[in-house]
Amino acid sequence: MAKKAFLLSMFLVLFFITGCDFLSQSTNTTETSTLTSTTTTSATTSGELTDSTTLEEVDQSYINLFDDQVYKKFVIHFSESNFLKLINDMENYYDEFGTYRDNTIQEVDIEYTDSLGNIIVLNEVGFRTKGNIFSRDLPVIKDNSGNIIGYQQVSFQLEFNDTFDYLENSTQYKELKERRAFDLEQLNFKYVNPGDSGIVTESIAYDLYREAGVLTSATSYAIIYFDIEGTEVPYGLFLLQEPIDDVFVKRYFGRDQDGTVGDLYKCVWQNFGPANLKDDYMPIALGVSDYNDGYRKTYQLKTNKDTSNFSSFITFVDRLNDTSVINYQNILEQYIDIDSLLRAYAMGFLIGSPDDYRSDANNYYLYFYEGKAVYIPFDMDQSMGYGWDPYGNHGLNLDVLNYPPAQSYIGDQSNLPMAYNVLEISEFEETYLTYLIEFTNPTNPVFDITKYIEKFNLIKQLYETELNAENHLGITYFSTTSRNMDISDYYEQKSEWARERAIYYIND
Amino acid sequence: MSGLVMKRIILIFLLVASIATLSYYQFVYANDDEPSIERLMNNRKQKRDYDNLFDDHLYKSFTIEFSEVEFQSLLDSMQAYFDLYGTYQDNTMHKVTLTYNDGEDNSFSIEEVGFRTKSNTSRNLPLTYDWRDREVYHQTSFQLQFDATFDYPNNSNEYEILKSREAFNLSQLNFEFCKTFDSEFDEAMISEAYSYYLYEQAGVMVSNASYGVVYFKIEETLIGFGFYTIIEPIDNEFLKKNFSSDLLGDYGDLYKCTDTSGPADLGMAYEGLIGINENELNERYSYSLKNNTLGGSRTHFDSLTNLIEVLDNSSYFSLHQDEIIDVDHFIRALAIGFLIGNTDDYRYNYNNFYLYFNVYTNKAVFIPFDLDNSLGFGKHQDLTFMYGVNYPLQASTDQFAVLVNRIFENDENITLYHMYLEDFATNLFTFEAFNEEFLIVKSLYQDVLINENHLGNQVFSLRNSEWYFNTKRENVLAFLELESD
Repeated sequence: MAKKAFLLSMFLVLFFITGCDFLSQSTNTTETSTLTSTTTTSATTSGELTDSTTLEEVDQSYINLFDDQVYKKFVIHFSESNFLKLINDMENYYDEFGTYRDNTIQEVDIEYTDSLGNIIVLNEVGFRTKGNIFSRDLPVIKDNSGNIIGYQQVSFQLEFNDTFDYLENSTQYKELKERRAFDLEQLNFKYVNPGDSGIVTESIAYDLYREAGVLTSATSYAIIYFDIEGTEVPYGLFLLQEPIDDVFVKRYFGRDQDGTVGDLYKCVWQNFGPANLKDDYMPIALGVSDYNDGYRKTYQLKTNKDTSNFSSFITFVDRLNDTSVINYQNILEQYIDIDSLLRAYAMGFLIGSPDDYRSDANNYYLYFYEGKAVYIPFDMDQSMGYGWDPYGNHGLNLDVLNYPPAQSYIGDQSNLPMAYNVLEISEFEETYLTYLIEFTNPTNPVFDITKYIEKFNLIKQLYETELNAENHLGITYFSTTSRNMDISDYYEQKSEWARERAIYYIND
Repeated sequence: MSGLVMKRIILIFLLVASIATLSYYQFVYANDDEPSIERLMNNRKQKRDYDNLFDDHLYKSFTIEFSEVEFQSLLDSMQAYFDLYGTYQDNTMHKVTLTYNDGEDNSFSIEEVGFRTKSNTSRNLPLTYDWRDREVYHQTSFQLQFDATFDYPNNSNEYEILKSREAFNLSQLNFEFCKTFDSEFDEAMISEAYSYYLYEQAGVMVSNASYGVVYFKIEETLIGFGFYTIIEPIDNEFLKKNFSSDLLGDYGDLYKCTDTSGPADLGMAYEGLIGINENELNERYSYSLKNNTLGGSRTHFDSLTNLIEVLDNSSYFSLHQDEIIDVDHFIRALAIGFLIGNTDDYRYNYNNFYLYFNVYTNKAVFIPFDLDNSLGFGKHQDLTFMYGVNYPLQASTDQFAVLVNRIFENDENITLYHMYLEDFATNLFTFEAFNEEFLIVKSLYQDVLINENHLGNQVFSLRNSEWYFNTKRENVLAFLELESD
């Protein structure tokens, strides 16, 4: 019996030892298998993440975006419900205010590709339509019963940093608020005016201002597709326009010494009349606009919305309109960046948009940088012999100095003090005329038809085939001659006449 | 006879076989339902693992493995806290398994590690769903606690093992991701860890810091969570490494000082700013006692209030400064901090430092932390947006950093400060050294970040660092020369 017990206990000891070995072996196996699993699976991680962005430097993506040599394509992905909501919101706005200028943001995903091989995919981007009373329409065509029977182009804006309804401090809010694409918070898309087969007119106008030393947006072109839950809509050729906002002023002006940026005002002829900068504007015409109010202010503050007391603008307008002071010229120099303004007037005259400040008290920004107002023109689609023609012959017969506003509502020139008062000062007038002569110098002109033709050919080469093959909306026909006015005629006549008159006045 | 022997042999064989079978099934049964306690142990060589962990020239990866239930629980508890308080600062501990790999072929896993998200501004829900209900992962700062005991009863074996468990010779380990400021990443990536290194080289007691790449594994889904700075926590383990205890093994008081409930300027308006954080109630203090809390019941904070009171008495402080605070250590911190240019620190923003009080003498030691706004990047009080490169040597942003003011009231202190500034600017604070480190870290991590499409910044860039180092250095040396004239 004792023998049996001994034997049994020996086996038990043996078994216990074996069990321990097994136990420790088991732990090692687990560790090894975990590590193996990690290595294997990590190799498959690539591509599983959403919201990928290009690996390029952000600044380079900005450069590429506005490089006309680069073919660019955006696909805007809507859910069906969001697309319908976009239309419903715009219709509701129309019912309430009589225009489609609803700025409600809808979520979309976007996919950008370019001819350099860059791909940028961004999910949850803000989309809203854009444009003024006359140019903003629904993106769809409806029949009398309200059924969607087709699509139509409308200008729009993508907001990369929109936070939608996320609560402040939430993860989504923080991440989206900080997000940029192409080194921008937003990007404007403007459809090419369907009557202007010159196609590149507006982009060239922006280029000309910039070449003349006037600050304004960078632009380029891209072909757009809407994807509405699987339904592809070839949406046409669009002008890409850099928004004039806080990012813009930081990019071009930097920050002030106190770390902030100056006040930026968008000045447009809206519900409270032309943005003529006279000192009799209604108080309600100045402030921060809210589209929910159903109207837009004439002078809309775009930066420092929570902190500004509008004194920069109020003081500027007061000084501008007070011509009784003895040192008025000094006052103007103190409150306006005169040189860039005169350059803008000279190039603006050549571009010939009747919808700018000098003709129509419209379509410009004022940025207050170190106490001075800097004039920043925008919206130039009615230019260079195309579009609205209040003067006849697309303004080719206008005198360089003396021409009336485009609309009689404004009255005479003296009701545009930033033009009239400034050009009344002989030194400023002479500088303006000098710039006209410089920009039209036959040997090395800034206002140069070859630039238009080169850009036209480039954009035609990049997009014309696809626009026609894919049956895109909007203009698909490229011609510099079949527009309101042959672009060569416009350049030649405008240049010659402006130069001749400028020389005449200089020598007078 | 032989039949009897055979019988006995058969009997013994049957008996042994039965016992073996029963034991085997018992073992298997036990292994299924009651996993061995040994799985919770970490018997690795702690010192060696610590050294590897903070060896910047070793590639390191950390895989944090969650069960689906645990990950959802993490999200739920953070969201519930946000719903209640408008912030995600929930510190509920969640069970994960950590797998560590490094370039020295060290690979090991530790089970049942505590995981919680960390920080205020850089604390994110690690997963949200976008407008199309797609998963969107977000980097978040977090902490691993190797000594978390979860819900184990305090008389259980698990509790006993876990409560004193360490990994890398640490009870906890912090992970901070490279944040954005004004929509920009700090593409230099190494700024924070390098700033810690500079402090350490300047003779200032700070956390050890290094880098690693982090993966979250949620069941079978692996997500590249990006590049992280790993930082040694300032806790009891830190005190043990750096200070002596009393005979009973106790340490002095340790306060974490931030601008949480008001500026931690060490000024007299401290009422209501000192206390013990109650995370569950979202109660946090600018001067938060981190140890010796008597289970959260302590109500006197004499070590700190005495310091504040004597700082208010300029003449007394002047006579007794060396008994009150480790002056040399603080001046070293001021000098190297000035070069690093973190204006989110005590001197410029009354923020981001610890005070440790010697267990016998109550003499204070200043320990800076949170250096991610440094070396020409980030949130700055410098309104010229020049990252403080033109700041005068002694000035604070204003005069509320009481301890700095007291120190600079003494000419000898200023002389010492200038001496350290010159020494550090000449011998330590160089772009070349920064660039060398940058290139090494870039070579270790950039390809992995890109190829596996990790969250956060993937491409390393020196950004403005060369300008920052050179301008700051030159300006400091020029200022010093002017002062000596």
